[in-house]
Amino acid sequence: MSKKVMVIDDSRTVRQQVGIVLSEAGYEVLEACDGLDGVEKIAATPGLALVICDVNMPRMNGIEMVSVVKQNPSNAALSILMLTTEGQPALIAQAKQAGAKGWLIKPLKPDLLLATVRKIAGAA
Amino acid sequence: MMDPAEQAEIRRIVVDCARHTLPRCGIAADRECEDGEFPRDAGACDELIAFLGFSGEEVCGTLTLMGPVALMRHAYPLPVQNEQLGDAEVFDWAGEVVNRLLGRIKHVLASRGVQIRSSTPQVVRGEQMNVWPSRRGKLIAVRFVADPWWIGVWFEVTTPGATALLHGPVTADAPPEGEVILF
Repeated sequence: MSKKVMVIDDSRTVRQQVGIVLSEAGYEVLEACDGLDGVEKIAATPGLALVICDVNMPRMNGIEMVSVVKQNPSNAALSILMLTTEGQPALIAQAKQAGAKGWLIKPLKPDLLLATVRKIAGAA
Repeated sequence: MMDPAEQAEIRRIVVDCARHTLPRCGIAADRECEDGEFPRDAGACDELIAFLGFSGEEVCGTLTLMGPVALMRHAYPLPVQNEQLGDAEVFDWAGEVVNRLLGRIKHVLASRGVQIRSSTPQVVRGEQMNVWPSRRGKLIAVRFVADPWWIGVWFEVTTPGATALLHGPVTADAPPEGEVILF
């Protein structure tokens, strides 16, 4: 059975770009359109191997989402990778403090994305 | 107030970033438009404006992109099923392009010690649209040829602290674009 990766980004195009890379590598890809949607879908999706999450999103931003998700003890082992144009050291530190596993700065490089996903979540 | 040297430097940053980022988003942006090229009053044109705001301790403002809808359709990066590309996809991509361009500008400013955070992008569609500067900021406007179309970049910046915005040392504190940091 394929490992499940959830992609959370308010841009449908970005979700699809990431989804194509991961699907072609054998992962099952699920999508959410902002932090709030992500919280709900993570709660409803057991067995997630990884969450890839944007930072700047409407309704709930990515770092807030990580904090909320990580408050649930059942998500303690869930890895979350931030994918964003942001590169501020203070923001990166906030994400780390909230429980994120890593920070990938756009533009998206498919090879690097895939290598990072494999490193964190293992092969599909 | 910004001095002319700062304005010129910010303009150079905006032009360099646009030339770097737009082609990676499917928009050629080969060269700046010359006087009279693609005159705005040449007739109605279906256009998109994509914009987002940014703020930080030293600067705040808005970055706006404007171009024909046909250009954004052409630049859309994903395969299109049944040759049907909806407006929602084109709007979404225009928003992502302006987000990535500001990402590049953020990166350059961060290397000079100027940190900004951005909002989420907004996109509107219309004809004969224009961008007017606010009274507070300095508007840097650049139009590029993206053959056979054009694309405009407006970067309005305000320096509330009146600091020497771009005279700080270039640092390596900002992680480079495309880099991954694992915790």
